[in-house]
Amino acid sequence: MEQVLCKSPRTTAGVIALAALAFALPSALGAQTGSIRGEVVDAITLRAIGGAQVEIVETRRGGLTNTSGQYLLLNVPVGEHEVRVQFIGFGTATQSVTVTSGETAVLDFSLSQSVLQLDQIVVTGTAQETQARSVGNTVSTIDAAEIVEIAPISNVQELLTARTPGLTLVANSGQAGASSKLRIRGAGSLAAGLAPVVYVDGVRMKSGTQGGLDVGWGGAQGTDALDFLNPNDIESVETIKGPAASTLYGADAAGGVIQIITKKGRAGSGLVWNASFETGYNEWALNTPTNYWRCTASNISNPDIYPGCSGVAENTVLEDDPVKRHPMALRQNEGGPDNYADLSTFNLSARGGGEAFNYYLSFENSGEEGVYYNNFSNRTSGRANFGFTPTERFSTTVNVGYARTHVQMPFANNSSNSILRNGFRGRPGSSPPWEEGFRGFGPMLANEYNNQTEAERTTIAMTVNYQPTDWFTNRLTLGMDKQDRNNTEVYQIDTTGAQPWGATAAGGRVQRDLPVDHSWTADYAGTISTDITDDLASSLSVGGQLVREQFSSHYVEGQGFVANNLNLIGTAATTLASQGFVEQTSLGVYVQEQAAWRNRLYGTVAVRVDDNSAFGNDFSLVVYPKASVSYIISDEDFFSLPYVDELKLRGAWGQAGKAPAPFTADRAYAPDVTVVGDIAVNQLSTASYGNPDLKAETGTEIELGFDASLLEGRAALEVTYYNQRTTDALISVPDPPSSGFSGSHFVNIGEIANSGFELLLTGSPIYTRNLQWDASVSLYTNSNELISFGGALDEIAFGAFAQVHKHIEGYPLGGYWSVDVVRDASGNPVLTPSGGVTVDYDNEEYVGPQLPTREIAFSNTFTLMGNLRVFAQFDYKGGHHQWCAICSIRNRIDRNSWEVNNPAADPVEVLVWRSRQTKTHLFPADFLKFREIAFSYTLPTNLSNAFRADRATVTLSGRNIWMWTKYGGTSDPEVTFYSTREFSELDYASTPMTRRFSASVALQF
Amino acid sequence: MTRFSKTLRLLAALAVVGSVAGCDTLDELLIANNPERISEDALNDALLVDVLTNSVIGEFSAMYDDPFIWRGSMFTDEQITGINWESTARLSQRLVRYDEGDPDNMFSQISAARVMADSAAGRFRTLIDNSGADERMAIALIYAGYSHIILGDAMCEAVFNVGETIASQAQIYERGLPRFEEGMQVAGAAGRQDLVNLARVGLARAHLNLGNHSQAMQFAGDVPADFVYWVEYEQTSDGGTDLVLWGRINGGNHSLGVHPNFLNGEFGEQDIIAGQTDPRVQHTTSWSLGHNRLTRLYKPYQSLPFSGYNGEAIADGGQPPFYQRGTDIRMASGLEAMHHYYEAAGPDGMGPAGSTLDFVNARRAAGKQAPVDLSGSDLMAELRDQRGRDMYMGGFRIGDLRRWKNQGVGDFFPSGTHPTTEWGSYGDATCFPLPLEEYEGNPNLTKPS
Repeated sequence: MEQVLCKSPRTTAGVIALAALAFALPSALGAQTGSIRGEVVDAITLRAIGGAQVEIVETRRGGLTNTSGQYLLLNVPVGEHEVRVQFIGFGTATQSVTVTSGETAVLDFSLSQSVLQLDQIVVTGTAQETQARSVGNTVSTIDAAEIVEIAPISNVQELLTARTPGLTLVANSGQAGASSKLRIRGAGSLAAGLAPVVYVDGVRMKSGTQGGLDVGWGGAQGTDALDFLNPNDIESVETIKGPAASTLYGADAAGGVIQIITKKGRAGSGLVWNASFETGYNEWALNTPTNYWRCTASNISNPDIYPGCSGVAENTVLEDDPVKRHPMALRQNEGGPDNYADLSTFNLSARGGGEAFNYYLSFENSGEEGVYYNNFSNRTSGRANFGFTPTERFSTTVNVGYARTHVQMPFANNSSNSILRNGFRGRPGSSPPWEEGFRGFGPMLANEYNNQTEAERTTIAMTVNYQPTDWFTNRLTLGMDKQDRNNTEVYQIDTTGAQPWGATAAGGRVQRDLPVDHSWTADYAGTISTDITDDLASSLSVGGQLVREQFSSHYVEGQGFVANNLNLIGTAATTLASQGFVEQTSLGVYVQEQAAWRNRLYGTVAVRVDDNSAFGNDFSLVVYPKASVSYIISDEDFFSLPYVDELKLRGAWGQAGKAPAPFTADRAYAPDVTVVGDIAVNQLSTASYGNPDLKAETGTEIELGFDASLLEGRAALEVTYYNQRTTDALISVPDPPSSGFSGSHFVNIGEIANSGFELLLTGSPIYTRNLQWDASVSLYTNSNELISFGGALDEIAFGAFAQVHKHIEGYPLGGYWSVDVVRDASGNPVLTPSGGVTVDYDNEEYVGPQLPTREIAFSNTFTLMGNLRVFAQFDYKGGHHQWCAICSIRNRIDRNSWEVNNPAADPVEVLVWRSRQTKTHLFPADFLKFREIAFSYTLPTNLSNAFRADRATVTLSGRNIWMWTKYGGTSDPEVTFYSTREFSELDYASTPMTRRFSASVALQF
Repeated sequence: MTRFSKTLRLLAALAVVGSVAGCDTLDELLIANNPERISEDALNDALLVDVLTNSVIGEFSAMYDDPFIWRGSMFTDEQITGINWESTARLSQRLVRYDEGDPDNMFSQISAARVMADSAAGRFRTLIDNSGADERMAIALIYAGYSHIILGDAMCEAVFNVGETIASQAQIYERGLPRFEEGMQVAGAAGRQDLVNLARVGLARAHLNLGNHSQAMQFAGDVPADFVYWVEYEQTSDGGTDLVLWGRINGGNHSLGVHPNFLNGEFGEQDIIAGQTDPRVQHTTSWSLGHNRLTRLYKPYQSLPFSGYNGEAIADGGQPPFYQRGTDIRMASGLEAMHHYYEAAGPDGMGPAGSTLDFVNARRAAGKQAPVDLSGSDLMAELRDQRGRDMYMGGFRIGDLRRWKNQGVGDFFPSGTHPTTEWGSYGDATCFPLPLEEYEGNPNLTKPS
């Protein structure tokens, strides 16, 4: 019997065993029962659909199909039953079957494709689990489980990149372990942060860039707080994009909400083991700038300073590319000890469940080397998710995640001691301070930099669902996120006498920064559902959310080692210590009413009230309302549009906030130390100017759009227009120094606007048994404008190496502004009496925004013969600009570019290049990347079985394969610089995104 | 009972429970501890008088080495910098913009010291029972006076306490005078003669800058020749209380070098030994490239205003010390007072150290220089040269150069081509403008167009 049902004996055994377990109880009670078996296939291709949910409608008991699309339900009570089958990407099918005692009824299903999933359950931005059809705002869902299976994904950042219209990742660096900045629908805040809040299984998580030693000033890249998550553990990611949708998350959520949902077991399914192993390498993917030096007569006569110019003819141009030349600059360089920046990943998971329980267990170990010798990122993680459903009215889940990460970061960017900075700024032929061709440290010294972060992250999410009556549901989520980090930087005892790392480090130095992030979430929602009439239903929800975040840190330092191996703090001659502590609590309660008319017209209104410990003493509660409408107009009899199967019209309006940072409302002083009479004593210093009226920013958004199913479910189109306005925006106003305070304080006076369109078209242009082409195109536009400073400021000019950014009314936040040299009416530079040029600071010119104004992502999956799959994704971002600070510095200070060394160049133009003008160093940053490619081959079942596996897949993949760009700077326009600053972006010795190739084997047992 | 009415009842119950339980517990839930900060109101506590006194001293020390000495002396002929931060490096060319960071650093840190001293003095009037005879009150007042002097030396103009009046350099000095005078009185009542002398030197310095020569001579003349008062720094430090100048001459990224005007040889020359005869201004014998890998830097050794000064000259085989982390700087001294005295007295002056010529030759002797026999403007020029050597890198040069320029003595700011020839010529700035931050943060000011 089993051999007939299933091609894989192991799978069949598993299905039968678990199905038997699932239905054992009724059998034990002696009821008359039979069985149902069948096969679920794609209606067009007739390919088997594995993993489809099969359940008896009345009892909601069932299981999953095996990889051959077959199912078996045992111990089904005799009589007529409705059996329902559903699977992502397909419509739901329901059929009747009559079960007779001791017999097995056969019931096969063929499912039709349905790209638009209006019945899909969403959990983000709603008071309870809700069908997508009733939600008036867009909820973007990433099917993470599928994407991780087909695309080269090694962390959450890669999972989120270019998959959700409106969600932009701004990469800080291509270094292994470096973070990205998350932006949703542009920049809605000047000073309260732009990042969305992130939840995992309903529990608030620390996200974003994490500081560390040398991170704050841009000397080293920060790590990403979400890197603790193993992408293989993620089932899906839901994103709601602005205040219209995020009202129920209150005073932190104006920047949007990302909800990461981890994999769970499946009740009634067999035990399924998954194992995979991946190996590959990273490589530097771009050209590096060549350095030039034209030997002058003075250079030739000064061989001590310019030994390379000795004996050459005047105007001889020397050239060098030290970053690609030096064996120790990049791992892939010739002559070095290592030719590859290796990566490897091992994943093992078990997933299953019985009648009343389910589980998902996983283990992962991954490691990735960066292109520099002192850069790597490793992670070991495990997850245990349990679900328990003792009765139909009560269920509980406990999800526990644990991860250890270990990252080493090199000096980079703003550091005077980084390889790229010194390689790009070297002068060929000049006497180097350390190594030939490098302006400062060469690779031998730079690679000595030892900055490592070890982190231990534990997350717990417990959810209880209790439904005491048919009409009353309750959900309580309690959770915790705790992370302990150990940032360590060690300098060995200097034996050269040159003190290259400074006098403080010359005797040996160890720094340890030990931050602990701890947050707790309590979230309750109760919903009362009432059928007011046959056509009108009501769902009234009340809820509350408490989020408490605590950050503490201990910094210790030891200076002066006895020996290099004695580098504990206590063994050093001089020890230093400091401690930090910050906590913040936000509390919000809400009421929401959703009315449904004939299951096709839904109206929702809600209001949330928030308080936050960061609000000023003179400010109390904040109230955020929302309202939305969803109308499945295609359910109406009158609806008839060619090629349109289903059409949902939706509109939402709502408000949410962005709370200021803890304690920013208070005027306060901080303890410090000074010296009196040769004794260190306590003192106080000014710390924060404060603002007793401080409150959260208010984001208000209207969102209009529609979701359509086209061409008999073969395609889906989602179109959304959003218009967002931030009022009471926190503006950072300088503390007047005459007050004795320095720094800045916040006032709620600004106004910011964002608007644009989002489009997501998904479909299968080719859909046959032997060839299937699934494609999706997403488009996103954004128009950002600072409406008002509230009269407090004319502008805020800022930028690294030059003030190229401005916040100025009428223009995008942090837009780029350039200055040129003074020119005459003909456009020629005006020379000063001494023959120089003058920068015209009085005439700044707007160049363009810093964030992309348009993004297009194009993903394709080609499936041949059911076994060979090719996935390719292209990612375009454009409309923005980038400041190539390193270009300016090379021209102006190092004078090692071709522009200023070209013997044939116009001398006046050379003066322009060498001046402090920024006009020629600001470039359009449009780029198109061939982001991902993967070739996967699933072995035929008989071959898989040879490995004792149900399924075996071999994949060759690549990431960041190719790039087209308008950018004329030295690096990757996708990469910015400061991981800790929201708006100051530049290319200054920035490490480009690396190209990655890997091969993997995935087995399912 | 219908389901709808059940719903209403349940909601009502929830509302009642929520409102009763919510109000009292809400505030408790939202309490956030901040053990790193103390609120301004809490400073009005008699238990904090000693800490506030330390704070007055500490804020002054924090700004004195940097920005005041390090950045301030960049405008002058005491140092050139090889710092890689461009806006700071341009100070070395006498180029400064009010909307870049260095004027803000200068104004905000000196203002922090001034406000701390002024506010402490204000609080002490009520927190200390007999504040008129309490040394802590004297310290607050005298440091407030010195903060005004420093502010006047460095800034082109200033604003006080978020006010609307922009004070000129002279008005800044004048504002410091009553603080010194009261501080001197309180110090005397408290029996702290060192503080009395500190106030006297401050008064002499302020009056000299204001052109009040007789008052300058009066206060300077009462200061004992051996009086020294120090700005202190700590050898074991986390970087907050050590001497910033120490970090500027150490390591591969050092950035502080002696200006050609004070160099004991030709700029660019290596192995300068023979010319290093005056122990008051000594430097490394050869240059090295610092932070910007461009500027030739001869690192200075400790000059006379620094606590490690040992009077040894390299030409004599001596070894002057570099700055250390814990090296202290003279805040005021009898020697400084004598310089104020004789500059105010003029070439024909007589005073505690004899005639002006006697004083000049005594100073030349300290520098192992042969005596001179000068008079009139030549003698005053020599007095200025000796003042520059006696106070080298001690925080006086920018004030001196400005005073001499303002009072018509001469413009001795460096000019022409900068020693880092790649940078071009010097600009003409002599002081730090009121920074953009004051215009933007002070509602009573309008930003210059």
